[in-house]
Amino acid sequence: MDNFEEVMRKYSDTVYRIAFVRTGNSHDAEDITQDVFLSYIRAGKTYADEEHRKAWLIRAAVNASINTVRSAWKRHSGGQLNENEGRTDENFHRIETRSVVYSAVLKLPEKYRTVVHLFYYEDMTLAQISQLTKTRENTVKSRLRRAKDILREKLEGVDFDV
Amino acid sequence: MFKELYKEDNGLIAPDAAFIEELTEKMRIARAKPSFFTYKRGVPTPLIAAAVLMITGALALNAIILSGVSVKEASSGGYSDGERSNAAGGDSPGLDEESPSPGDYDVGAGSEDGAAAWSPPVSKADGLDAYIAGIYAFRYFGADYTGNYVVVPENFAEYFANGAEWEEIPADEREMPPAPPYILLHGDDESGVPYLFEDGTLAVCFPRTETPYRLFRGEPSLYAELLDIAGNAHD
Repeated sequence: MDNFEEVMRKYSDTVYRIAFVRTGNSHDAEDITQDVFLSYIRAGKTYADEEHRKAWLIRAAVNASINTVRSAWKRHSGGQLNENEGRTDENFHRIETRSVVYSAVLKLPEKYRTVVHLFYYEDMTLAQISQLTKTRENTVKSRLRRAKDILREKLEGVDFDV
Repeated sequence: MFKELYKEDNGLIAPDAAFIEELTEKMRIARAKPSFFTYKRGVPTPLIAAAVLMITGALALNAIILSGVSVKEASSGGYSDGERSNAAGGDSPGLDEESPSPGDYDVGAGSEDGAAAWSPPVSKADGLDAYIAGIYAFRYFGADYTGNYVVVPENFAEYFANGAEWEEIPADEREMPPAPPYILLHGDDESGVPYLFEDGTLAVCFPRTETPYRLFRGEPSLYAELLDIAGNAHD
């Protein structure tokens, strides 16, 4: 799939959702989506198959999301993304009012959210997440376990199959 | 069960269709202009040059409020005429070779009410080129976006002082924009429109962007170029 517009159509939701779950707001998610696809153009790489292309875009989205959250500006300006109170973001409010599960995920500490998303939404294995986030597999495993513990407390009656 | 519920909920999270459409168009154009992404020492920055060409045909700003800040003269940037380059390649229409005189920069700032109506020596790029220019140049300089205002640190030019090439500053080394005084600009809701001041101060209006989150070091020649751009555009 060399057609850029097709790539955007196919993966923009994927990139945006990774950004949103980490940052918790549409503005940053859109910025990150934009940056990821600009980076994609700049990289000008060819990919062995669609899995590689998707992996590249996911990695770029994860990295861009982490950078955004960690940025000095965010830290100093009080843009604490763990605290979603008072947000006027439309996506956030839609989630808050219509989704108990996603809303609970958004309230997790940042470092857990991405792991949860990649594992449960992108169906990635712990090893794949480890490789993609450059984090030790045991760390990924413990983050996922901890996230599930927190979610179990908040989401009574919801089963975690895995 | 969690997995199914979570996947289902993700259906609620999607980028705005208009945003994707707009972005696709921008990417298409950006892709057709790969030189926009090249920043090398000694090479005129086509990114900026393109923005300059757009600037020459710029529209007037609707309203700009300057809040108790005097705008410096273009010549205060510390670059001799010989160091300046014509970013538009020497034959761009509307770009005067001569820099404006210092007297041209009396902009009436600092009125008692702090909100002097100002016919600004400011230029505005337009269209997609401006948007891309905004993304790759102006957005990264530490401006704070608050509502319709873009706040640019007055001594922002210092960001250019030491950099040899364009490079992204690692996340851990990034710094906050310096403390006030700031120059406040009234934006006009046109996404990505960069405003160039004759003192080299830049701002960009990003209605979609809450907080620029990158700072870049840029080569000094680019700053000189921008001074030239801003000064000439003033004419």
